[in-house]
Amino acid sequence: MGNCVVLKNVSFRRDGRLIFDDISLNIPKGKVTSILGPSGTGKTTLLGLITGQLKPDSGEVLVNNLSVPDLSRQALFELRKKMSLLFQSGALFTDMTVFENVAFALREHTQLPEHMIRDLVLLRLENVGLRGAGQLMPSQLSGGMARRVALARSIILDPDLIMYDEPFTGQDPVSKGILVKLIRALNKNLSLTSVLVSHDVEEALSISDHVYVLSHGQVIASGTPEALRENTGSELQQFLFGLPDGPVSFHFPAKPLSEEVLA
Amino acid sequence: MKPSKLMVHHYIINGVRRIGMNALDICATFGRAGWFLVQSLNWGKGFKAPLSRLVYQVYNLGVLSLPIILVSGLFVGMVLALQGYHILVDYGSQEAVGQMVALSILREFGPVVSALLFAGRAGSALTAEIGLMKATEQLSAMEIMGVDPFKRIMSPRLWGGIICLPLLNLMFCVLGIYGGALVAVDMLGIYEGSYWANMQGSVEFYGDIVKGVIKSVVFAVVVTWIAIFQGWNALPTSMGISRATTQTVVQASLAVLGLDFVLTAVMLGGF
Repeated sequence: MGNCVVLKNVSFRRDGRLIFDDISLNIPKGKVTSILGPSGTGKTTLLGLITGQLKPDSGEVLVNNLSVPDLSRQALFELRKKMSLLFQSGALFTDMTVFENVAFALREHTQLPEHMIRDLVLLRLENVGLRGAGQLMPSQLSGGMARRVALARSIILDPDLIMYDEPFTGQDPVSKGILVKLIRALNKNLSLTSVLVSHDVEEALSISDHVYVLSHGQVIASGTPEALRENTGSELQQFLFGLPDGPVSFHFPAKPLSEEVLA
Repeated sequence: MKPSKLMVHHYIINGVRRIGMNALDICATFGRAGWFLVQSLNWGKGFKAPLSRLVYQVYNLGVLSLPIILVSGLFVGMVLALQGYHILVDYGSQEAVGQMVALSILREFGPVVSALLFAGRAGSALTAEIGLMKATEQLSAMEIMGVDPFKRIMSPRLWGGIICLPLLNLMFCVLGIYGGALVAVDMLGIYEGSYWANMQGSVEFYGDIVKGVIKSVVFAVVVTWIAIFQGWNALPTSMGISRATTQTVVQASLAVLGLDFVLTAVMLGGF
């Protein structure tokens, strides 16, 4: 099948802080790949590198064999028509209805007649179970509904690659269940390549074909969900089973308490 | 305690370093703002969709600014006529009040006050709108969908501002001159014929009206440019947006007043 996204020896710094230290990973085509890791490990930054919003300090970022950092602005915008990103906040356009939000990319990139745009939008809204909510404004939606609208919007152009940035954060169990089902179903039905960035371990492992775990700017483990569950690495175990202390310290680096308080 | 020689050297070097860093920062900001302007002026391909966005911005920035511009124009004209009458009456030249009102408004008050009001009403709204779009990741979402925010968001707003402000300036002038007539003719009893005839005799189409509109076009570019750049450049936090909105009003107002002096000097042949 080949790889849709390839990162080779990528290093990236932000404000002097090393976010990625020479990491390499491959996202296979047609599969659901999860990137897991504690908060602040740069999972969203990784998506920024894949979409070309950020440039690595060194290394290669390839999407469909194109080197993303080297693309011209125009070529990058062309490439982005084949990829989409579901933002953590949904990032819906607040002055447009649900219908107009989903129709946005079609209106911008195609010359389709209005009746065809209507049909396509309704089909996508049907996919996410919100065909009846087309005339609502984003402010009238619950968090879960907003994320489903954003999902409908992100698949309207039938992308090759879809990335989900923390899709389960802040969702109730029912919404989480719906999203898990939708991500898996869309990946299968639309032959997508999906990249799921999350720290919701159980949900992510339940739908992934392959998993990478990041910590301290490195890939600390990778493999199938089953292989990761059997891995005995202490840092991985701490993350997978939610242990409060371990290699990832509970405390942010600071001077000893006695030195700071009693001095 | 007397500071040692070493400490004095340290303070001086730190001071020079800070000045240098600030100067570099200012140069970098000007560079980014210049590049931002070039990209925002690009209309993009096609005509129909960009035109409908432009029409919406003309409504948003122009039509919705009409109340404040018209009311201000009327009152500025009324005050000018009142003040002018009380100065001119000492010299027995009160009949020249129409001429004074028209020239002051067409040359200075119209372009400058309408630009200041535009910066306060429309400029601040533009900054807040774009800043909030940035904070809620709407601009990023657009970029990820392969839609260029410069063409979709910035360009219609910039061109909308450039079209609206000169028109608002003309409306400000018309209401100002009419307000002057209300006070001078109806309140102070100046002969209506001399109010309008003196004005007609002294106002030149190119020298006064066209030059006023040219000033207004320059102010429109500068005010709208500052407003959209501040929105684009705002930190995506509530404090960041609040600061950017304030910066827009302050920088745009100072730029208008400073540029007004330069343009007036150039137009009068002072340089």
